[in-house]
Amino acid sequence: MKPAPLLALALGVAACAPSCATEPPPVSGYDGPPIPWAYSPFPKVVAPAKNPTTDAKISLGNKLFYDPILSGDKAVACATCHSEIWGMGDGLPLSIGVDGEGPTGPGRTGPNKTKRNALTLWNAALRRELFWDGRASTLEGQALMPLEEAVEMNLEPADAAARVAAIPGYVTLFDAAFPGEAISPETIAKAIAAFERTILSYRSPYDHYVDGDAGAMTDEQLRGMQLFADAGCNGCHTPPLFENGAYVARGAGAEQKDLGRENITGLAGDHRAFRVPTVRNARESGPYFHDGSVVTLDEAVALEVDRQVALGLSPELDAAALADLTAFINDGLMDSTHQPSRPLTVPSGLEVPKDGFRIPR
Amino acid sequence: MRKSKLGIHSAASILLIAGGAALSAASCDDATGTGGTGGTGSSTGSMNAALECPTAPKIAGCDVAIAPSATDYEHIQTAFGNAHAGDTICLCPGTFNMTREVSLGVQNVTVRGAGATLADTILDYAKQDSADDGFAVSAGGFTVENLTLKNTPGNGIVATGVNGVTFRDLKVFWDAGSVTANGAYAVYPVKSKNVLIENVEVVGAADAGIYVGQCEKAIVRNNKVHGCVAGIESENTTDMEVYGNEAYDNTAGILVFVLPGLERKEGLRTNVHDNDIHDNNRENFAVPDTVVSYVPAGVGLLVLAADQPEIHKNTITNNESLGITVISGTTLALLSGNQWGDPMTDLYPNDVFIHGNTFTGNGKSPHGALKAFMAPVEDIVFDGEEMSPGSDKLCLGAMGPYPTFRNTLGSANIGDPTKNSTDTTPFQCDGTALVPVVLDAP
Repeated sequence: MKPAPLLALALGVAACAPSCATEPPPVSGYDGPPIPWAYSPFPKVVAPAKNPTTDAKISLGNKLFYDPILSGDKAVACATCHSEIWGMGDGLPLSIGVDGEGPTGPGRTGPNKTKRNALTLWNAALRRELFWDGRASTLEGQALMPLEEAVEMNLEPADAAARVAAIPGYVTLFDAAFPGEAISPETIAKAIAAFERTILSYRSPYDHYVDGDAGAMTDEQLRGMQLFADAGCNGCHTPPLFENGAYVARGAGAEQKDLGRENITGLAGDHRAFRVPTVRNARESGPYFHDGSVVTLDEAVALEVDRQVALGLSPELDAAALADLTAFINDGLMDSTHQPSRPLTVPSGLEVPKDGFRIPR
Repeated sequence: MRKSKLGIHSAASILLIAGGAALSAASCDDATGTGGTGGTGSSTGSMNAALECPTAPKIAGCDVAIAPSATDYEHIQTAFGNAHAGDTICLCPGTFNMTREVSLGVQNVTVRGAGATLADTILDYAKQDSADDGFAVSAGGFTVENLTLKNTPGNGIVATGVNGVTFRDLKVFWDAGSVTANGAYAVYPVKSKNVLIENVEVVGAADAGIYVGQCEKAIVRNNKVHGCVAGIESENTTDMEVYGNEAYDNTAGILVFVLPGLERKEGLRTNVHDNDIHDNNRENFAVPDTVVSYVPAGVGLLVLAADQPEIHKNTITNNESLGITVISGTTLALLSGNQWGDPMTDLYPNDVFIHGNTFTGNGKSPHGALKAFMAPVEDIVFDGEEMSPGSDKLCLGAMGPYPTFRNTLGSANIGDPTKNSTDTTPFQCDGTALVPVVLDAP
């Protein structure tokens, strides 16, 4: 994928050491209220030339995303593990795929468990690589990979396409989205990718603030923003995406055998390294880290600050400072304005997976 | 530094594509400010149908005014997305046909219906073809007032994790009446602090009409909640005051709960006083297997595993199963067939203080699991489960007179009157009197 110029700018800190102290390149002309780092505008989403975004594709992709027709047991949809209620993840340490029981969320159980935590889909359109180990480079390429995983959706993409093609409701939607093209794994993936490009979070209090609304963040959040810089968090969780596309080994899940990025690159430097996740909307996307080993954001922040302190990259923070820092992430970076809409029905007539929204969030 | 309200910044342009047009707003001159307390008042203001972006909104106190149009969701969401901290966004009189959940993440925003009464501005979600909530809020200092929401497929208005949220002069209902397909909660602050809910009417929520979950400091006053499964619910919430409300024609009037499996493990000091809790005899229509689906009809007030609640000076009338019941997680487990399953959450109610309430005509024909009791069922029924070691106990006041009382002496003895006691002597004591909740200024 050729990244958009702005995207390249935002993610321009490609190869950074695990400490990730690289600063993003400054952008001149920023005239907003003070921020403790160089300003970069939120990048624009650019769809690949082979799959320009259209409303018809988005609405088809929305249905497919929530339709369990794409799984072997006809009960698991993409949304089972990427639910808008759970920060576009699933609230579980590790996801439960086919043959599971219960709505999305901490109560879901089942025999088929993934080996890593479900990554948030927020702003996935702006990632140069996908998955914790970066093994996919486009949304189109990624979209059907969970189908092929036995513990996730467990359905051959060709079989998925055959199923979908037999449903009149989908035939109409595909005709509108892909006139003259067959219903195939490729068009299914394109529709889902087009839909995923709409799942963007860029109107948080922080975004309003840098847009010139000096009152958009609370005093607590403003102190937390400064601490986010003081503790070096922004080295990896780099504004404006609050991720930097890097893979780092921070020690989470060290007792496990997961080699992470090394599996893909074969490089010793990628040993047990995992992608830096965004902390936008992190409030809703716990548990945290690639193995989901940390339940609350408070704990995750404290753990990461401890590591920064041990590396000499952050001063010690007391409880009040940690609370401010967490408030910045929790509230200052929260925007679910463009969360996907969960359809009441899908063309297959199957039940849209329950998202557990009746369980207090 | 402050940019124009309707200024389009680079990021917002993505959003405006979805809207198909720049924000259309109209003035509504005839409408004036804040409003009354319900009823069926009709709008006298006729809106200018021609939409335009005024340079200065004409309603006093409104920074942005939005009129109903063919694309209501897009207009409102765009305005929310472009709001500045401290803005008041006015929704002009009329019906907004909402096709999606709207969400707001900007600090200190007020959303106000600009009609003379709350019935003038209606957000109708009947055409929403998704299971989402109606209105989601994720920033503090938020106020919503003087409008009506109806027909949300999911919950009505949800505020998550915010400090400072006010719901005032609202009505939330469903045209279908009281049916299972309705949204679960109508007014739903969760994991929030400094919550005020007042002068709200809710009809037909399939779980709790007014639900305060995992919050700290909440005042729920002068509301009217009916036709719901539960009228008002405090759940794993600390320092909540519930007064001046009328809860009637629900399955159960008021619930003070601590439930397992939640992030916040305790519920302390819910003060329920001076409420009118009557005729809560509606058949339970909650989604099967949800916790609230196990609540038998005919219950005035139910305390489950909550600590230090004070229930006093309420008028509790004509609830067919019983007036007040105090139970532990063991009784919930029996009723539901599910295990409590959360060792971190104490399943016993501690230091419960119930005094000075007026009971009339309750317990005449118990429903569901409560049929095990013989009519007339006593005003207060306590499951008598052993409380946590060293904790205080149920107190019915040091001075009588006492309401009729039944202690089942254990969950297992519910349904076997020969093993129950009606002796109030061990409970003739004063518990902890709670002080009024004072909300922190945002």
